[in-house]
Amino acid sequence: MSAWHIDDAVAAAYGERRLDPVQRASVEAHAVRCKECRSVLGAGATGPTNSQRSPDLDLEHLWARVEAAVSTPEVGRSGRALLRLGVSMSDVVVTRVVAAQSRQWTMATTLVLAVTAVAAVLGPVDSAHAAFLVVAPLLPALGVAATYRLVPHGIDLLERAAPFSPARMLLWRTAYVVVTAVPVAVAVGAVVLHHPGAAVSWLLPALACTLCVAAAATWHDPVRPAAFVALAWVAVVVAWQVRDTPWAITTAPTQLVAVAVSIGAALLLHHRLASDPVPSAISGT
Amino acid sequence: MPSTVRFSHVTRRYGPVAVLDDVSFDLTPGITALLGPNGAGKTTLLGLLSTASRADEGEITVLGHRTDGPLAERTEIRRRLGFLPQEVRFPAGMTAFGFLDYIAVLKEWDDTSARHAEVRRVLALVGLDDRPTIKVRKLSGGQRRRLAFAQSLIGDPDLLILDEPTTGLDPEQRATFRATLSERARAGTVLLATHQTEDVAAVCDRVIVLVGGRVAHDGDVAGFVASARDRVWLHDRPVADAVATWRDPAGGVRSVGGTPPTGAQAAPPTVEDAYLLLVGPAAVEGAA
Repeated sequence: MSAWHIDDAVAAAYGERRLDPVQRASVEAHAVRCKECRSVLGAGATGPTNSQRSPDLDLEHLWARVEAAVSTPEVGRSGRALLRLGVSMSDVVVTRVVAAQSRQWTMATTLVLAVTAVAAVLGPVDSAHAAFLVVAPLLPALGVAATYRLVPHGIDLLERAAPFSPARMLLWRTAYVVVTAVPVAVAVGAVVLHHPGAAVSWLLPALACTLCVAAAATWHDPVRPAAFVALAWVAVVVAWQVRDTPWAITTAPTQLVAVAVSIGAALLLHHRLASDPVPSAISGT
Repeated sequence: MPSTVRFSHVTRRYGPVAVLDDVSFDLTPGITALLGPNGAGKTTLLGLLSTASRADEGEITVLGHRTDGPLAERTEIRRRLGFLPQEVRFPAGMTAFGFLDYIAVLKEWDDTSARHAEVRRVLALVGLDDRPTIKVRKLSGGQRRRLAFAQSLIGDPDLLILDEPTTGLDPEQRATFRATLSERARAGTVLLATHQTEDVAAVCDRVIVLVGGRVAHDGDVAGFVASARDRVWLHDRPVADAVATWRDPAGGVRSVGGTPPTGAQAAPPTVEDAYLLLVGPAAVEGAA
């Protein structure tokens, strides 16, 4: 049994509904186990004073609140962090589901990057460079496509038939992929790539690939544009290898092309989402 | 009575095959059954109606808005409809409450307290309010179907689209479902795609039958049943050219359609009889 108890100020704030959902859930979780605090909460509730109310009604009300709090899904550590950043509770719910649906993708990404890192340590350095430059820029693009493909059957139809903004959903899926894949990829790049600036040079091409896939996926199933973009990027990297310019990715022209493609794809995506998208997973019809 | 839904010469193709071919009908408040053999186009039609997919030809108007209009117009439709797909696979590790909480967010219930209250309300409607924290994978098939039905009730929608809602439900659960649906139909429009003709007889006002992507029948249930009058027979042996025959619980053999032999008694028809007579051998093959 915890020695901690709910003080009068917290009880009063709870009764006047001034606590945020997380604090309220914490208070109610404690009250489930602590009889003393249940009575304190009952006394702090707004409305008629304790003497004016039937004790049975108070208890019923309190247990209803406790039951409600217990049945509410946990927001988790990442959810609490997002709430502190000002993200709404609704979006926290969405990110939690996106993360649950995309677990296989996250595991696959981590595995691929780990294998690349091991290959860099044990195998020929040039091959590891090439492998990393093929894989890393494609991770976010393929990840966005995967987060749509991994939605269970039936839920995909419910998502498309719901008023939730397709752009907002795309944003959260992309954010999930970026947060789970990019930092690890940057860290692996720092180990694998022995060239100034190379460890982050793939970020702009990655942005361009991701936006191209997202924009194209407003027309088609995301897998098709993802496969096309992947093939195109592999062709670019192979061409650099054949011309013996493996670090072309770090040059200003390459980075400028990536910026131009990103801007073009972003404008197209915005136009598609804001106007009249045709059937697709991303556009929501 | 004003139409809630209007299908006007709607065609939907998958490649060269027209799954729906020049389909037209109106829906008004009440419960309308959508019957048809497997592959008749029922699920495709519901997908179009729910705005989850779009027609190749024709116009669909739902609650005053075109489904092929701008996103804002489709969003207006989506705010007022509830949709139960034929099959719902749930995300791994999710609880019943968590699943409904997610769908409520998708339906723009942004106020957390109000959303959670709504989730509890629909859980109670389907009899799952005593187990909100249970993982979905631990629910039985019937409970999962009820959970899927619960999400369609969030927000008390004006239009409810249900695809095979009673699959996997036991008789008691089916009775509860019918009661819930009848209550809902007082205020809104329900389109119920089903193979369960008992459900049609129990709760529906009207029946639309799709065969080969076309509307083969559209009318009230009583008239549909009456179309089978004097075409269903009880005898001690099957009628040779009947569409379907089976042993009747009251004794003898029930034959639907065909030329009655001497001594055969006309039996009171049911929705199932009328459906079998309308669809013919395709219905029997579809049910096999």
